[in-house]
Amino acid sequence: MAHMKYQISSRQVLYTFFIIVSLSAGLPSSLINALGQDFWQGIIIALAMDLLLGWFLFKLGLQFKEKTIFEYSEMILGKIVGKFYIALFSLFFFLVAFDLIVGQMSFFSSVVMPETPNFIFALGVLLVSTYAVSAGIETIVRLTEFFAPFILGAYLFIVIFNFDEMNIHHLLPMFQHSLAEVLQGAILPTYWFGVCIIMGVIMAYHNNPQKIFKIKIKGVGLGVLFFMIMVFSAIMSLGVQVSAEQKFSIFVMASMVRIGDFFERLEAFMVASWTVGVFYIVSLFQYAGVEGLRIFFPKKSRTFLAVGTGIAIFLATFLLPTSHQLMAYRQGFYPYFCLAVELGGVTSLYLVFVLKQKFKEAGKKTSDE
Amino acid sequence: MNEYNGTISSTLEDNRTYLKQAFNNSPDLLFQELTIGTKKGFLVYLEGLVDRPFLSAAIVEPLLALNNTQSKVPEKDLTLGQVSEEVLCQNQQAHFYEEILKGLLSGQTVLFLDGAKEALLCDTYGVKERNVQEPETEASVRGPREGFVERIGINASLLRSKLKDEKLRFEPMVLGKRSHTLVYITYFEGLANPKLVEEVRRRLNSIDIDAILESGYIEQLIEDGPFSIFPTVGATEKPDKLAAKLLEGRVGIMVDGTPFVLTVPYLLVEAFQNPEDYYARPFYASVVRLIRYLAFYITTMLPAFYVAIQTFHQEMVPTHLLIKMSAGREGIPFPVIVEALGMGIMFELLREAGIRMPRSVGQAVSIVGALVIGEAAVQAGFISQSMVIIVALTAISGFLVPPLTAPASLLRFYFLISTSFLGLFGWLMALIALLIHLASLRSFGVPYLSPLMPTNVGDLKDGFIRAPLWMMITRPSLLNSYYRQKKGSMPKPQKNP
Repeated sequence: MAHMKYQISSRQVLYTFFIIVSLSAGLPSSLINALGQDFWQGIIIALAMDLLLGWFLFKLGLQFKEKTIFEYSEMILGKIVGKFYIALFSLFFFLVAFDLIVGQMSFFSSVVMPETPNFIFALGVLLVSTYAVSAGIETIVRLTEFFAPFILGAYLFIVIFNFDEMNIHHLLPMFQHSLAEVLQGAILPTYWFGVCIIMGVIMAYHNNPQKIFKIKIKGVGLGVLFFMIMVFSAIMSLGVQVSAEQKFSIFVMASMVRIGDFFERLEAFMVASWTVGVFYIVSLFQYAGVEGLRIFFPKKSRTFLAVGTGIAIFLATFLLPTSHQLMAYRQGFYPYFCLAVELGGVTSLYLVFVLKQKFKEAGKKTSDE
Repeated sequence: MNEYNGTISSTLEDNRTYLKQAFNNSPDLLFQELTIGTKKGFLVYLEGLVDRPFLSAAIVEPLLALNNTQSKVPEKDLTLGQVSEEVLCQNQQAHFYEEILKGLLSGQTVLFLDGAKEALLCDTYGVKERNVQEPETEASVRGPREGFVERIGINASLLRSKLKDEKLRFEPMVLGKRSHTLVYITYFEGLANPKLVEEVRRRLNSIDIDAILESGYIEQLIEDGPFSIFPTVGATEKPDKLAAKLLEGRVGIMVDGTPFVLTVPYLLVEAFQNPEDYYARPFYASVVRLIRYLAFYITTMLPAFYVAIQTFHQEMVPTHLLIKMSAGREGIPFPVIVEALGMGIMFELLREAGIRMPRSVGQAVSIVGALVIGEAAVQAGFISQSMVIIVALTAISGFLVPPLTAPASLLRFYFLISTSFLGLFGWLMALIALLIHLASLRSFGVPYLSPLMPTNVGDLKDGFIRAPLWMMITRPSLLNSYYRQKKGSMPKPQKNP
């Protein structure tokens, strides 16, 4: 009915950023490997960068009400450069979805179901995410109300039931890395937290865009808090060396949970929470990418583009068949491309917008005089 | 143009011929000759649709009595108006054959007088009706035992007896080109959102169908998710349940000829609610409601979990339990998925047979089925004992949430198949796909999963649990954003001084 306005609520936005930031998977191990007990310094740098990008997008979103980052890119940069930016952001969103699917494939095929062909996991996630994209952003984001408490519960469950295994002395020594090393180590969390530029799409549908920046801070803050708790817990439970060596250290920690003599192997909760988190981010980013593509193909329906991009992402998983190639892609091209789009793309967009505004104001003043 | 839209003739014979032709000399069309004073006339009605003792007492006898009261019968100009004052039932004059035909088909008796260009339609409807009794589909331990019947008038009066408020509205409407079924839109003015009422009106008016034989026809023609396995229109046989829903701001649709009254919007959470929850104290009622959610979870997912654990994730089960389960499957010739699917189909078969067979035979079918499956099949080594336990638990749980029995059966197979291919990963993907479907569903504009998704903390007081009545001072917010506060405020329990 017309009187009922359905958009994305503040709670759903908060949950979205919480899920994105807290989704740890293989990140803690890489981070501990790079910075050991000083991993939190890298996270603080990443957080600062993310907040800066969030501020730029917030300002842009307020100027271009109910417009996505794709729409106002063209309005700010003009048709040709704007289209280039749209393509760049679209590709970025698809690559984030692709990276998560590849990570999920690797996790399931190495830890959970090693006998199942790994492309099946990509197929499963993409089938459902394509369905989600065709259902629309309101439906996708509404899922957070079910997923976020579940993910939160899984984290708390693991931390609480690992309490006996924790040794606080494993957190020492700290401040063992130089600024250069910390900056180098911060690349990983910065590009991951940077994916929160999805705010440029979400803000257009938020029912209270004036408040979205505050909500984003809360969501990212909550996510960072839980991420840090998980990583601290992993170090305290497993020690720095084991945490760094294990590809999925949080999973290892989860597998240590025992309740009485009966409840064991409760890492299934962790697997489920990661899977729903990965699925959520994949569907959200696939949706965002499809929104960008719709500017190039305005006559094609969202469902058509969702199916097309779903097939494309699925086929792309076959492009990196060996773990060596996959590692080269994930440690070489991917993080730097992400950083370039997140920091370079969003910042340049904001700067051009500000400069244009200044020129306009100056032009107005001159004509008034 | 209707072929029967002519005006009534002043000649009795013309009218008689016309009616006989219209009904093709149907044997249930009865004519009864009358002479009032010097005036000739006849009564016509459809046998079986009228209450004949009432017809005799209310029409025939008063009219014949006129012959004995000379002063009341004018010699020549006895008019239909004068006759209408004498008969002891509701009546109205008709001028067109179309009105006569509709009246006859609705159980009215028509009086024609010689020389009159109009006829008198008398309400004599009297089909043998079922008494008001306890509905079989919604039995209750505590609460009213009365249920709706097939007559819309009686159903309306049952509702009126619950809600004695002049703001209770019944909007009549006739649907079905051939059945001319009477339908009432019922709601509380001031509580139901006017836009919701308008939307119901619009959807009902858009129905173009030959006949409405049951409210299920309307349900399928106005629902939001025609391709969904979940119901987005509610149905109840209980007046107290309908009254409670109207008080929340919902709209009811009564249909003549069926005891099932539709309610909209219908949300998933309603399937887990029961009128008795509100008649009993809140604590146990809340526990029972949580058990219903658990039962739905068990009935849809337990066989799938069993298959996933037996086939893919043996490591998830404690060792001693796994050994027991594996020992139970020793010698079973089928893979666990075939066993589960076979038992699932067998259960559906027995359930359907139990419902459709005559009651005495149905009971026998259930007993034989239980014996065959529970004893013989296990002893023959076709199925394992653990599978019998799983199926029995699944079956019993399925009956705890009657509105979702059909979707639960389908979902059971859906999850079973998805886990048989991909274990818990398949189950998780199937669950997420189901959540997406449910999150995208709406019933008359209201999200189907509310107040759970999108979460509405205020409305959760009647979601997973049933809060004490004194805490439920607001109506559901998504249904009614204008008139949320209930009349008065409910007193909180007093503390002892």
